[in-house]
Amino acid sequence: MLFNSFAFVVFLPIVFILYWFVFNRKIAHQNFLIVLASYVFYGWWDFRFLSLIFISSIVDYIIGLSLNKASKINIRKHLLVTSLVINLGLLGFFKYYNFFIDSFVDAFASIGYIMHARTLNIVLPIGISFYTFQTLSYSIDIYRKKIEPTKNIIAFFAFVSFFPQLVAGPIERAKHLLPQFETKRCFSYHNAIDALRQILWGFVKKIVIADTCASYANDIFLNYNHQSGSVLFLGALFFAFQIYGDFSGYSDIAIGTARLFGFDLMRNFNSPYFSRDIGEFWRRWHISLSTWFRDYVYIPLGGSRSDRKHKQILNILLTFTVSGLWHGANWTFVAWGFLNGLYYIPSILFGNIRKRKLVTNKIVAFDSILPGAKELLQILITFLLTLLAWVFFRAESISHAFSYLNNLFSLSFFSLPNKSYLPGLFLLLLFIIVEWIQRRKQHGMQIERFTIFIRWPIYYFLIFAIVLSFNGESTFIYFQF
Amino acid sequence: MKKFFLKLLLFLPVPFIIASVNLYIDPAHIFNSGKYLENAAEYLHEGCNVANLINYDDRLLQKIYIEKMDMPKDVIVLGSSRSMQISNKLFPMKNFYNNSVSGADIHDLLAIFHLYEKNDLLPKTIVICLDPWVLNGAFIDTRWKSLINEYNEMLSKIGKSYLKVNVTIEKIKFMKKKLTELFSFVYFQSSVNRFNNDEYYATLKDSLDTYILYSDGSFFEYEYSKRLLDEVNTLAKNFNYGSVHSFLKLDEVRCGILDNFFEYLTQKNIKIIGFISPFHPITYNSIISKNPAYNEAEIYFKSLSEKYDFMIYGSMNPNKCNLKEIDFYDGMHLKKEAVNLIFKKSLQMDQTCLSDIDPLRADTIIVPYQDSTNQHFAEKNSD
Repeated sequence: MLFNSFAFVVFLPIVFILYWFVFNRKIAHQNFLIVLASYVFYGWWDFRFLSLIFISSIVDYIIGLSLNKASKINIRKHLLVTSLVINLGLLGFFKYYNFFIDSFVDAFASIGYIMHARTLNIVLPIGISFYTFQTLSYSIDIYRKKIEPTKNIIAFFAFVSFFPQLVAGPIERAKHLLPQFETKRCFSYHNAIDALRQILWGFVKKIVIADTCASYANDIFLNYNHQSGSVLFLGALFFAFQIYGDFSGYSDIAIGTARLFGFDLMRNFNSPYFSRDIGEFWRRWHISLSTWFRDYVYIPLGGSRSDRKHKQILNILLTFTVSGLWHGANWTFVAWGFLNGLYYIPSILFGNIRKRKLVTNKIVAFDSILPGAKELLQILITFLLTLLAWVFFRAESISHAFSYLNNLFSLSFFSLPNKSYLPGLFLLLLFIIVEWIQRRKQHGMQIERFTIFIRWPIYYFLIFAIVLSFNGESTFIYFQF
Repeated sequence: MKKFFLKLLLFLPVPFIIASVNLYIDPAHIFNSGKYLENAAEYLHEGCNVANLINYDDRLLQKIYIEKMDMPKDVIVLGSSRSMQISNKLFPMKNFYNNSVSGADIHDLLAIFHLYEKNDLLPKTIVICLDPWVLNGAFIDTRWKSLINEYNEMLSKIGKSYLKVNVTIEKIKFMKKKLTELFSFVYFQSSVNRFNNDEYYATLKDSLDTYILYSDGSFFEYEYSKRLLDEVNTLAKNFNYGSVHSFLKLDEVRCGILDNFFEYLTQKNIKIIGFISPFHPITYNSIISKNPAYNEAEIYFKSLSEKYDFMIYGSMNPNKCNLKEIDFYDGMHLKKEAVNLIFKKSLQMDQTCLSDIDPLRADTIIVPYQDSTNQHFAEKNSD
């Protein structure tokens, strides 16, 4: 079920009323309703793949309990490996089987050896990368003795399948979310009102910003051979805001929806395009995934603890490349991840990662209205670097990306683009201004400080902006991951 | 919680505003279709062209137009947008009307014919556009349902009453559609855009920078007329025959209906002219290589022409009609000049069609308008 569908508009109030008025006697009842609602939410797309969520849940539930009981290190390792093999096996088969087969065939073909391997007609289950990572982190954290396993099977199933974040995150950690399923939830008026504001802002980002940018970006990327460098630059710019609006919009709707049920999900985006360096960008973009890779891939590899620079560089490159592959079974995502890893190398070489982290922990111009000239330059450079990487992310193939960039960095870059892009650029400008003003807030619509005479016209203006921009139930980009 | 629900009530004006605007402006005339088209039908009967007539139910316009007629026509055209370019210029000195409707299916051919018969206005000659999807069971356009009663009645007349469609179910579906559109965001967007657009009006001009429905039922579309060859070829290349007209095999039921329909027309002594509108060369090569059912449809149409002794003008294959890319608006729509070329050549061969002018109707003959002919056709015709 899509958030921006009529089905969800009916589904959400029904579940909300049942949750607070019918199933409100016991936590277990509410959890049961969440599992039921989540399975309906997911099954709306394809009920057959509910079995995968069920398998992933039951496996990690049992392994979690067994890990707690087992004291011998060997048994504990075997249990963890079982969880890894099953979860990554499911992910690998459904998401990467054809990709690896095709890549092997191509690799052998390039050295003159023609192989005939069968690919399978596999449907990628929506959200598989998200919930497998969530269950994996549960087992790993128990193995590391960072958390205790839960005995409450309904709470655990609700944790894995919680519908607001099931198909596109945020990827929650058991330490943060699971205890919330085991304690009483109370309805808070102020929290619910702010949750609605956050949902509204999520829809604005998705329908008004992302879908509008998509229409420009799709057209430019599709016809890139006939476009000037300046238009190709706009294409990358529109895509940068398409993916930001799309994914952070989804996260806002997910977090807001969870808040309506009394849950607190982690923040997934924090004004990433105002970052002053690439490290800061990755602390503000898809935070739940970045921290997942940091905790379960980068740090176990050695992180930045090694004294040898080349080892640090290798760890960074490996982490980002795997992160790229997580996004999709295509070499373009691998290249995107690798490129982002490359952006880190200067910081490693000059040894200023930790120092920069201290400086950039707070959002830019935290105590002032506007950034300084140096900060502005840093923001621009960081943004242009991410823009360059987005071309790989959006391109159909590596050669498509290189041709696109080749045309972009031509003399025609200095030509004036067509005026037809002005409405889109004006919309982006408005969006950036709002994002800047609200950069210290949890979301763009945290406007409780304004009087009712300002708030309500804003609500109505945004609702009608959504209504006028809506062009059908378009899927979210991150569903495919 | 009570306060929360009370606050939510403040959003109730949103659906109310949307529904009110949709109902009041009603850009596609879903809620007051008949009334909107009354004047347009009047203008056409007065011999005027109608400009800027957009988003309307063209089936309903045919119904209103026919019901306002007081004398039968000599020649009518039944078909889709692919036959909308057939004008009275091709049938000089004849009382002519083109009843083509967009996306016409076999249901439309039967239903519009029945409108003539029901009003005792049977024409002498019918040009029937034989689109391949007429024989495609998977064709899913539902616009014909505006004339569902006429279709059912015609089925009974050709001995296929067992295929009648359940009117009650369709009425419920239509009500559901109306309700959906009442609160539809997309319909609201059309309503808002409509603020800037004027209503339709009568004109004697035959080219304006908008859509014109001519008094003979044929049409002029400004947007199509200004397309460049590159644009046309891109449209032809991207022609989406897969989803709209996915056509795997001839549908036996539809073949049977068409066969009985032709038999019925023959019994009524109505002269039939079949018209197969060619596809753009790029589109044709693409669909023929991927989909043999198109070719089978043409063969079937030809077998019917032999069985009921009528001529077929044109072919799906543009080469057979000596047409090039420049003769098209897109992947499947011919320019008026190209249609004229096909008809002129065929009419010369089909002498019977030119000989039967009824002198009693001479006063009702509509003078053909002068349409602009481009250089390409000037050269072709001079050849």
